[in-house]
Amino acid sequence: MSEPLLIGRPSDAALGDELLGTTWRAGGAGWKIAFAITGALTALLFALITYTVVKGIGVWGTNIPVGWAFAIINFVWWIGIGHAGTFISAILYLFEQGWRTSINRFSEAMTLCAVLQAAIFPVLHLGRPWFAYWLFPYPSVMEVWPQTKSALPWDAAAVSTYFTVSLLFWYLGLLPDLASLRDSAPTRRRRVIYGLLALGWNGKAVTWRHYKAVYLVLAGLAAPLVLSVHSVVSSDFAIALVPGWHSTIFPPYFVAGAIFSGFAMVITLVIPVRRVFGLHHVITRKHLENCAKLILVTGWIVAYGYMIEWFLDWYSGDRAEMYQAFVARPFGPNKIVFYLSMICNVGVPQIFWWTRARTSVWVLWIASLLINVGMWSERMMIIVQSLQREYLPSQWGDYSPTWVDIGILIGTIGFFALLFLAFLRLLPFISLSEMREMAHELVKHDRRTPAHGERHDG
Amino acid sequence: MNRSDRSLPLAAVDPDPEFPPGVDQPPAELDRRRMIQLLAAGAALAGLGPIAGCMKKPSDRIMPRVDQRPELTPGVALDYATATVMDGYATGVLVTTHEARPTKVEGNPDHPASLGATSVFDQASVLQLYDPDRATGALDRGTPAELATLVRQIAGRERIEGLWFLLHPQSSPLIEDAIARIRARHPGARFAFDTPVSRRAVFEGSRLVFGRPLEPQYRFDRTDAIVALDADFLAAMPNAVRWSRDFAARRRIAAPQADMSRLYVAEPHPTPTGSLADHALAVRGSELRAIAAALLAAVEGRAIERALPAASAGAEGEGARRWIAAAARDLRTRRGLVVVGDRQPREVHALGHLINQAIGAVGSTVVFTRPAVIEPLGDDLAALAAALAAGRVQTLVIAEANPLYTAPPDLGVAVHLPRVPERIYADLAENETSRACHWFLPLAHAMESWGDARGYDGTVTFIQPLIQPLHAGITLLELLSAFAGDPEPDGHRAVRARYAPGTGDEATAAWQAALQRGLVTGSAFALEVAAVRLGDAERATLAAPPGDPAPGPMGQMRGQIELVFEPSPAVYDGRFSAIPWLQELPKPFDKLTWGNAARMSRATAAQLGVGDHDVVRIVAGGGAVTVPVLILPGHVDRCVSLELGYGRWAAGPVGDGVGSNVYSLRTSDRPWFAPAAGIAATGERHRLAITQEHQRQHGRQIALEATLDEYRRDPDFTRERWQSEPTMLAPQFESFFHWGMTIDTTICSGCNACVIACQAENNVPTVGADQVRRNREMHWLRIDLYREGGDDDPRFIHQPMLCQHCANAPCEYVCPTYATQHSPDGLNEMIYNRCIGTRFCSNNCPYKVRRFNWFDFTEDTARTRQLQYNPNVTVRSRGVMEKCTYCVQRIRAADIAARKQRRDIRPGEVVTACQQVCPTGAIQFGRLDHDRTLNVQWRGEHRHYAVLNQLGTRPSTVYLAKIWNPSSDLPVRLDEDTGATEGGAQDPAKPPGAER
Amino acid sequence: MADRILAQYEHEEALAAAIRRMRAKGYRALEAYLPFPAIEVEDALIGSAPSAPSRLPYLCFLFGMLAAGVAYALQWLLNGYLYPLVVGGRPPHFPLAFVPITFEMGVLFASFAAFIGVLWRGRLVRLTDDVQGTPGFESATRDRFWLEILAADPAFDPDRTRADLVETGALRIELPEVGP
Repeated sequence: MSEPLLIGRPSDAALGDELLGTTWRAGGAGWKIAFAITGALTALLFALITYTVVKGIGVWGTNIPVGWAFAIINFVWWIGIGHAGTFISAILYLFEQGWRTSINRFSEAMTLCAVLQAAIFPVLHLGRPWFAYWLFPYPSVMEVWPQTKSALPWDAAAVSTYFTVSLLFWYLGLLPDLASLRDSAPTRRRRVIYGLLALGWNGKAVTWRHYKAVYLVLAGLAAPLVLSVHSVVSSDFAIALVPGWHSTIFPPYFVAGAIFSGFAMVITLVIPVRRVFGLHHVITRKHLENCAKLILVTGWIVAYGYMIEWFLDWYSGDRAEMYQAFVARPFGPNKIVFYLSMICNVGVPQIFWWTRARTSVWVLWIASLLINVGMWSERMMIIVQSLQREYLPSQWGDYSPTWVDIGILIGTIGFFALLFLAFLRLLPFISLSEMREMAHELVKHDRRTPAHGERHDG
Repeated sequence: MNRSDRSLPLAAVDPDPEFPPGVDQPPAELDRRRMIQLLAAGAALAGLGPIAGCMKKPSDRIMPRVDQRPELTPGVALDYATATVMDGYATGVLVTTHEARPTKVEGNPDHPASLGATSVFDQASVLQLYDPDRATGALDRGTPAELATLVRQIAGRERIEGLWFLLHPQSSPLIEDAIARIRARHPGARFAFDTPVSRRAVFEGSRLVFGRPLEPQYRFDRTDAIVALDADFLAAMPNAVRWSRDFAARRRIAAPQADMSRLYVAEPHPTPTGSLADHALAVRGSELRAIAAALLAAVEGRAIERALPAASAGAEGEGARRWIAAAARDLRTRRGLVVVGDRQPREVHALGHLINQAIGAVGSTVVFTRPAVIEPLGDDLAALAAALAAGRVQTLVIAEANPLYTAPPDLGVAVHLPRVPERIYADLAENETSRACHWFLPLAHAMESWGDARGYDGTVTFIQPLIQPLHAGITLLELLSAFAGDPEPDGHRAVRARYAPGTGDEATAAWQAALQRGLVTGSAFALEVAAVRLGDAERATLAAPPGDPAPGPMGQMRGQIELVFEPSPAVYDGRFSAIPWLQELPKPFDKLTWGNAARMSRATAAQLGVGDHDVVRIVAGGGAVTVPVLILPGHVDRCVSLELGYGRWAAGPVGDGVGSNVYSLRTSDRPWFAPAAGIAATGERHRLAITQEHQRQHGRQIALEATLDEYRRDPDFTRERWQSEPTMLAPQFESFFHWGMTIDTTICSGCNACVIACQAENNVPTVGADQVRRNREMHWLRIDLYREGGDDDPRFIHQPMLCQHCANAPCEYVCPTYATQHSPDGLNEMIYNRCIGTRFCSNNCPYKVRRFNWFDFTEDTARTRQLQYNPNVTVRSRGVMEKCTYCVQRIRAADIAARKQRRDIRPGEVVTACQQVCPTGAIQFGRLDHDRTLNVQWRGEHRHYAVLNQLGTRPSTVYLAKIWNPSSDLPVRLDEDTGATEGGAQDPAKPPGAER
Repeated sequence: MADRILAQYEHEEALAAAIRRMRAKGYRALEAYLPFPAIEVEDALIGSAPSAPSRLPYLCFLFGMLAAGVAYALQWLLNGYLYPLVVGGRPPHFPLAFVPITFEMGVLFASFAAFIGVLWRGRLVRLTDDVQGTPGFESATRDRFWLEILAADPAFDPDRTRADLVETGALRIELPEVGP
C-alpha cells in the first residue's frame, strides 16, 4: 500500500506539456490502423441497423417466448459499463478519494461512449422503432401519452437523464483544460476550435468558486443517479413475473454488477492507454490496485446477489422459480452462459485477494476482459434463460442468435472503441487542473513531511 | 355456364329490420368483370376494417348501385346455407359473405351432420376457394382452350367405347341420375369410385354379415360404454362432427354425482378419440382382428384365449386380455356399442357387427341405413387398373381423384395410364395426374357451384354458389351432364328441376325456403332392418384366430415392424396441400406442422437406434421413402405410423415438397397396415417444425384431472387453482358486466377445429416452416397437450389456450404506450395502432398467448387469399403484437345491434368463432350476468379452475378439469409426475437439439 | 489609459501573500486568475469584492424540486386524470409507479441548473474578455498565477500600484491597453 499516487513532482509546465501533449502529438501508424479497424466495425454496425429496420426484427433470433435477447443484453451490458465513470468521478469525489483524479476524466468519457452504445438498443429492438418517441409525453394529437406504470418509460427517463448529467459533469470538468488547450494551441485553427469549446474560461477566482460549488453539487446529484439508473433498468425485469426476473434483490444486485463491470472496463482501457502514452507515473499501480479492490468488493456483492436469488427461489417453494434456478439455468438450453457468469464473475475476482495479482498489469488486464465476458453472460442468463423456461412447459422454447445479432454486438464494440480513440486523440484524458491541484497539494505536503511519497490518500 | 341465378341467404342472419334480405327481388346480372369489381370493392372495404361494420348507406365509390344485389348491404355480412362435401359425405354449412366475398364457414345448425359445428377441412375450404394456384382455364394438351367448346365436343359424342370414369365417392342424387344417363348414352361406360381413404371395407363388412352394404348409424348419445376398435369417430370418420356432439352429451359430467359414459379404445397410435379413452390399448393395426375376435368371445361368454393366440403371451398380451375382459363386462352390463374404424378390413367390421348383435346394441345404440355414397355400386381402383393394364380403356375421365399421386404402386396405374388414348382430367387445380392427361377442365369450387349431396344419414343437402366463379369453371355434375349429352349443362337448372319443378309462387316460395334451410327436411334414409345372415361356418372362421399369412395375427408381426398409414389430420389425403392454414396446423399429438414423420414409440426408436429428427429410410410394398423420425408416446411398439398426403410434387408452391410421400409404400391388398421390408437410419437429420416440444406439467398443476371416484370423493379437488389470491389492488370496473369463457377439458378431443376457425375469423397469417422452427407461429388459439403417466400408456389432456383476458393482466401494466389495456366489460384489448413492439407484454404473459409480427406477414399473403380476410378484423402490420380478442368484433356487432333496438345483449347472442365451431361443444362463452347460459352454469361446477391462478392474474377464461371414468377392473393411477429435469429423457416430444 | 493592472506570480502562495499585502495597502477591487482553484487565494480574497460564497446550490435545489413536482403532476395528469385507463387492474393514479420518473426529472433539471448557473455566474459563454490577449496572460491557464487590480479601485494609481506590486515580488506586470 505504499504505492504513490504521483511519482516525482513535475512542475505545472511539465505536467501541462505532458498531459496536453497527447493532443498535439501526431498519431503514428498504429493510430491509423486502430481507427481503420474501429471505423470498419462501426460501418458494419450501421449497415446491420439499416438492414434490421428495413426487414424487421425477424432477422434477429428473438421469438416467442424469448421476446428479448441480444438487444436488451447489450443494452444492459453497456449501461452497466457506463456506471464506473460516474461512480469514480462522483462518488469517489464525495468521499475525497484523491486517487480518482488521474482516471476520472477518462472513465467519464468511457461512460459517455458506453451509454451511447446502450442508447442504440431500446429504440432498435422495437417492432416499430420509428414510433420510439411515443415513450415521451409530447403533446400528442392522439391524446394518448406514455403509460408510466411500465418500467420502460422509467428507462427512457433514467437513461436519458444519466447520459445528460454525465455529459454536463464531464464537460464542466473539461472547461479549464479546454482553456489550457486554447492557450497552448500550436495552430490558430486549433486555438479557435478549443477557444470556442472553452466558452471563454479564464481561471478567474470567482468563477473557480462557483465552479467548485457546482462541481460538488453535480457530484452529489450524480451519485444517487448512478445508483438509480441500474435500479430502474433492473425494474424492467423485476416488475415482471417471469420466473428468474421477479425478484426484489435485482436493484442492488444490478448496480453492483454494473460498477463491477464498469471498473473491469476501466482497467481494460487504462492499461493500454497508460502504456501507449507512457503515463506510468501519473496513472500508477496504486490506481490499478484500487480498481482491483473495488472489483473484488462489487464482485462479492454480485455473488451475494446470486446466492440470495437461489435461496429465495428455494424458499418460495414455487416450482417454476425452483426449476428456473436449479434446472433450467445449469442444465437447460444456453447453459454455457450460466457457467461463464459463475466462473468469470464469482471465480475470477477472487485472485484479487493477492496483492501480486492486483499489481500485475497482465493479470489485471486478462481478468478485466474475463469479467466483461462474464457480465455479458450474466445478462444473457437472466434475460434469455429465464424466458426460455416460463410457467407453461407447453411454451418452453429455446433461443439462438442470428449472424445479425452477433454482428450488431461486435459493431457496438467497434463503435465504442472508435469514439474512445477519438476522445484520446482530441481531448486531455487526464484532468490537468485537478492534477495540478494535487501536485501542489503534494508539494506542500512534502514540505511539511520530509519523507517523500509516503503519503496515503485519505 | 350461366350464373345468373341467385343463391339465398338465411333470412335470419340480418339482425337489423332496416335491412330486409330482399329475397323477393329479381336477380341482378353479373358478368366476370363486374364480379372482379365487387371483389376489389370488398378488398377495399376490408381495409376499412371495423368501420365497415357500422356503415349505414352503401357508398358509391365502394359499391356502385348498378352492381348492387338487392339483399346485399355493404358492411352487413350474409350467411348462405350450402354444403361441403368430403368423399361424398355432405356437411351442411353456413358461409358468411361480405360484399359477395365468402370469408368464413360455419356449421348449419339444422343439418344432422353438423348441428352448427364443422371440421377443420370445412373451415379451410374457404381458403381453397381463393387458392392463387387454382386452374384459371381449360387446357388442351397444355395449351389454353375454351371450356365451353370442349364441353360441347364432349356433349356431341355418343357411344364412346371403353369409356371409364374415375371419381371420388359420390352421394349426389343428381350425379346418380347423370351417371344413369351416361350409361344410357354410352353403353359399357364404367365408373370407378376411389379415394385413398376408402370406406369399402365398412360396406364389405356389413355385406358379409347382413348380406348387403349398410351404413352404421351410431347413437353415441344413448351409449354408456363404447369400445372403439381403431375407430377415431370423433375426428377421422365421415360423421365425426355430429358424433362428437352426441358423444359429449353422455361424456360431459355436470355434477359429481352425475353419470358419464366410459370409452375403451384400441388403436396403434394416439388419436383424438383415443385421448379421451378411459382405457386406451396400444395395438398394431393388424392385431385388431384378434382383439375383436377375443372381444366377441368374451361378450359371448367364451374363453378369450382361443381368439388371442399364444404368441401374444407376456405383459402385452396380459394387458390386452384384462382390457378385453373389462370392456366385455361393460358392453354386457351397460348400454354398449362397438365401433370399428374405416381402416380395418371387412372381417373386423363383421366381428364388430356380431359383437353389437350379441350385446343387443343393434337397434338401440346402432342402427343401419343404406350408404349415402354410391361407392359400393361402382368399381374400385383395382378394377380400373386391371382394365388399364389390359388396354380396355379408350377414354379415361378423371375428376378430383389423383391416382398418379395416391394409387398404390403395385396397381401400375402410373405405368398404364399414359397409354390410354384419350385422357380427360377435371379438378380445381392442376396436379400430378392432370399433367399426364390431354384435356384439363377446371372444376368450380363448391362455393361457386349449384348442386346437391347427401349427408351421412342421407339427408339431401343443397350446394349453392356464393360468388361468381373466380375463373372459368365447370361443376362435376355439369361435366357428367355433358357426357350425358347436354351441350350447355347448367347446375342450377338441374337442381331446380329436381327439387322445385313447379313454377308457381308457392313452389318458388317453398324452393326458397328450402334453399335458406340448405337441406330437404325429412330426406334422411329410412332405417334398414339388419338381420344377421351369417352361417355358423363363416362365423367360426371369423371368430377363429386367423392363421398366417393372412394379415393380422399378433404372432406374424413379432420382430417385424408394421407400418400404419393414416390420413393426415391436417391435409387429409393431400387434396388440401395447397392450403397454408392446414399445412401450418399443429397436429394433435406431435404438434408437427409442415410435414409428416415416421412416428414410433420410444422403445421402437431405441430398437432402431434413432431419435427425433433423425431421417430413416423405409422400404415397403416395393417403394422406399426417407422420412424424419418423431417419437410419439402412446404409440404401439414395433410399429411406425405414417401420415398420407405429403411429399406432393405438383401441388403448387405451398404444397410441393412438404414432407414425404408415403403412398409409394402402400399396396392395394394392404392399404393401411403392412410389414416394413426395412427401416434404417440414414444418418441425416431434418429439424421438424414442432410448435410444442414439452408435454410434461412438471407437477405445476396446469391442466387438472381426476377420476370419477376421486371427483366424487373430493369435488373441490381444484380448489388450489380457483381460490383467489390475496391482492392489494381494488377490483376495477366492478359496476360493468364482464365477458368470460369456459372450456371443458373433459370433452375436448383436440381436433383443432377451433384453431382454424380462429385463424379464419381473425385474419391470422401463416408464417411457414422456418418461422415455425423459430417459434414464430401466429395462432391466436393453440391447443396445449399435456401428458401424464408413462410413455407407454400416457394420459393426454388437451387444453385449448387463448388469451385469458386476466382482470389483473400482467401484459397490460408493462406496456409503455397503452397499446394493451382493459375494457370496462372485462376484455384485455390490444390496440395495434398504439403498439410499438417492445414485446414486454409477451415476455410478461405467463400463458404466452401473444403473437408478434416479426415480418410483414400480411403483406406476404397472396393477394387472392387476402380476399378471405374478415373486414371486421384489422389486419396487422409488421412490428405489432397481436392476440385473441374474444372475437371482439362479434361482441361489438351484437352491441350495436342491441343498441339500435334499444335493448340489452341477449344471452347467447355473442358466439366466438372457436365456440361456434367446436364439434363437442367444449367451449362456452358469454356475459357473466347471463345466469342461465351454459357458460355461467359451467363456471359454477366444482371442477372449475383457472390456469396459473396462483399468479393472481384473475383470468376471465375458466377451465373444467378432465374427469376420467376408468373401470374398477382396470383402475387408472393418476400419479403426479415431477419431471423436474432438463434433457430429452423426460421430454420425449422434444428434439434433442433443442437443449443445446 | 489602462483600466486595470495585472501582475504575474510564481505560485499560489506568492499570489495569496501578494493579495494580503495589497489589501493591507487598502486595495479592494482585487481579482485573481489561476490555473486551478487554490484555497490560499480563496481565503486571501475574502472580503474583497466580489467574494461572497456561491449560492448556486440553492438554485439547483429549487430547480430540482420544481422539476420533480412538475414530473409527478404530469404523470398524474396524463395517466390519472386525462386518460384514466386501467392496466393490469391498477388504479389510474398509482403513486408508487410514478416515483422513478419524478426522481430522474428532479436530478436532470437540478443538473441543468447547476451547469447553466456556473456559466451564468462565471460570465462564461463568451469569445474573449478584457484580460485575454494581455501579453503572457495565456500562462494563467497553465502554470502562472495572476493578480488583477481594477482602475475602479479608489486606491488605484498606475505608477504607485505598479510599485506596490513590484514589492510583492510579481514576476511581471502588465497594463492591458483598452482598445480605442
